[in-house]
Amino acid sequence: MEPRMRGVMAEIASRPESQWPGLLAKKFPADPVMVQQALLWLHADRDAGGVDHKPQLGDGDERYDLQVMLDRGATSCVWQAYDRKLGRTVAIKLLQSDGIDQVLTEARAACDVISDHVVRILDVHDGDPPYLVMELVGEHDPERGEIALGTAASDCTPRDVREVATWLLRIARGVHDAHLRNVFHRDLKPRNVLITPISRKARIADFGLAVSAPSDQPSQSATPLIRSGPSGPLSVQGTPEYMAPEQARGLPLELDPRSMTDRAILVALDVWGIGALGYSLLSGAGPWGPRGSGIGAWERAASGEPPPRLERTAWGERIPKRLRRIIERAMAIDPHARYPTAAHVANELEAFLALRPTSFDRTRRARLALWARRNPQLTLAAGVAVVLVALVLTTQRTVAKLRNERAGLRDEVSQQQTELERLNQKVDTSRRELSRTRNELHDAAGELDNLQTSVAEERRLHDTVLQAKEQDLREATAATRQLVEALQTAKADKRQAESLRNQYQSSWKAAQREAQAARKERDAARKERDALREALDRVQRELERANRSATPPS
Amino acid sequence: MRNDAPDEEMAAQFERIIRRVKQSMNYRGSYSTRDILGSLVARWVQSGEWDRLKSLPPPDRRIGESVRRFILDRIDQLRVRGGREELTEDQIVLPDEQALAEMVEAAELRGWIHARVAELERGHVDGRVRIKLGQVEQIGRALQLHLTGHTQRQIANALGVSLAVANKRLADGTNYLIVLQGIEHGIGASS
Repeated sequence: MEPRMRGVMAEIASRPESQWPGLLAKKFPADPVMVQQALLWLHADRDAGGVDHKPQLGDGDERYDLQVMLDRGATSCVWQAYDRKLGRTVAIKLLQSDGIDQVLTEARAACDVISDHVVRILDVHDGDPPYLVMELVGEHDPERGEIALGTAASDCTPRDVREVATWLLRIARGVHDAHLRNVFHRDLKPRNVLITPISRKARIADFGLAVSAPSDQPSQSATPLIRSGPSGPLSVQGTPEYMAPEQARGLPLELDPRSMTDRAILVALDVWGIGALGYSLLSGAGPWGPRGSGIGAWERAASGEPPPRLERTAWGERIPKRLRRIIERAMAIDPHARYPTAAHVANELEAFLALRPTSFDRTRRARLALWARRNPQLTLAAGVAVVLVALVLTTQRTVAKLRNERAGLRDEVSQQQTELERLNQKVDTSRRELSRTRNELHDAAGELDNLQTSVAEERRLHDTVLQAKEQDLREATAATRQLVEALQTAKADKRQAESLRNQYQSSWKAAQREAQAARKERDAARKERDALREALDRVQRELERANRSATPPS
Repeated sequence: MRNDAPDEEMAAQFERIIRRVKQSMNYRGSYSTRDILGSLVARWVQSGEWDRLKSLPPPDRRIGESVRRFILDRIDQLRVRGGREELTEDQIVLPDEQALAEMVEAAELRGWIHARVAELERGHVDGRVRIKLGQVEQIGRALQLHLTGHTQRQIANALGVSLAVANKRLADGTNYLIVLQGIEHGIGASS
């Protein structure tokens, strides 16, 4: 809102509510729409839970002076207040008008618990509005000279894994203290744990969903979801992101901590809650999802599947396996597989922090490793002693070994001296032989020179002959080449001649055939001639006969 | 607003609007059975079934039947995944028609609030609201963080402002939404 308008609204808000419409009409005479909107704004502001207006704590109750609003939830808000009667600062949890049952439930539950780890309830007011007066979690800050207030663990980043384990230890002790008084929290989560500002100690707050004995009335919001489960009507209550699986699936409406069965269910729920709290503080998100996951987280919780495995913290530190196993056992899906009581969780966490064996450290090696981490000075002294003894033993062994080696070396040296003398003699002999061999070599070299000279002579002669032969060879090669060419020519001539012969043979055969035909013709002509001659002869004879017949006889 | 409305009636209407908006804006850390059912109804609204039913005449809508079927289906899925003991339909307790209608209305209002907060985050203010807001984006961011369950201290840290300023932003944003919701109901609307 703009500053000028805020001033106007604050001025009107300071007047009685009945005067607001008139004052607004006077302030905005020509703007009825503005008047109506501003009126609605003022009414909304009045009910805002103390941003500009502090709520009234009931008629005539002026014991508590509300100072600063510390936190606001769905159905309540928490104020820092001053108790005029006892002159002390307290926290007041203010609920909606219909929250009387919740106030009484929470007050009855929490005031029963006597524990350093639980925020104490000092008073309860079941009027309108109902409220609880609680111990203010804070510590005197010597530097600022005032009370520094505690913060919810959800707003507080742990320094390291050990601090988370320390918080969890205190929470587990507080939960166990509550269980001893038959009070069961059922809604453990970082927002319900307060961390003191200087000593950084964790304390449990908000027993709004707690079950305590004797419990004559069901909780105000215990509407059944399932009409009749195996053990009667079931209802769902809790924060989805942190719910135990059996809590998400529905628990009996009436749980009596005095009954062994119900008590076991309730203890298992809070043991899960401690684990889920550790899970969230380490990973930065609840086991079933980050804050605001709502119905999705409820579905995951009810599904019966385990939450994602813890590996590293939200600030990147590796989570020790021993702590992870404690948290995983506290958050076992099967309630019977969890720690039987919150005290068991506390003992395990204490063992983890003190480097003593937990129920998981069963091997001798693991226990020895833990003992060593627990007693570093003794471990160091023992280590040094072991190293010294080892050094002495090693030195003794080394000296003996060196002595043996020295004796062995002496023997070896004398053997080698004998061998050297023998070798010297051998060398002299070899030298003599070498000198003789040299002389022989010298003679052999002279002979070799001679031989080389004669070989050179032979080589020259041989070269001359060789050159002549090469010349002959070249000539022979040329002649051969000519002969080859002549042969090729002759072959070509031969082929030509053969071709011609073939042609002649063909011509000859044709001529023979023609001659034969001519002979046949000749023979036929001769026969014809002979026939003609015979015919002529016959004619001549006929003629002669005729002639003779024609000549008169004389 | 009807100008002739008696003061008491007007005050009651104011209270109703203020209560509904504030209840819808509250982050629910702890859930009861009713919250679980309310969330399932919100999912039913988001599924588009409600938009479909709204197009039918009121007697034919039968919200209860549709919601009942949807919720049973969801619980049945959990039963399959978790191997929970068999439940018959009549064992599941569902609210009556009136309670269901209230849940549907609440789910719708919550959806409306989320949409308006997203607009504020983008710097958009509804022009019908005459009371001017300052630091609109910061108010939108503060409301968004509030809706997702951040504490005021965390919101102050996220915005880099003091706790008092964070509270002021939240209050301004809430009041703006209440005024806008009033306008939707005819209170403070221009004629």
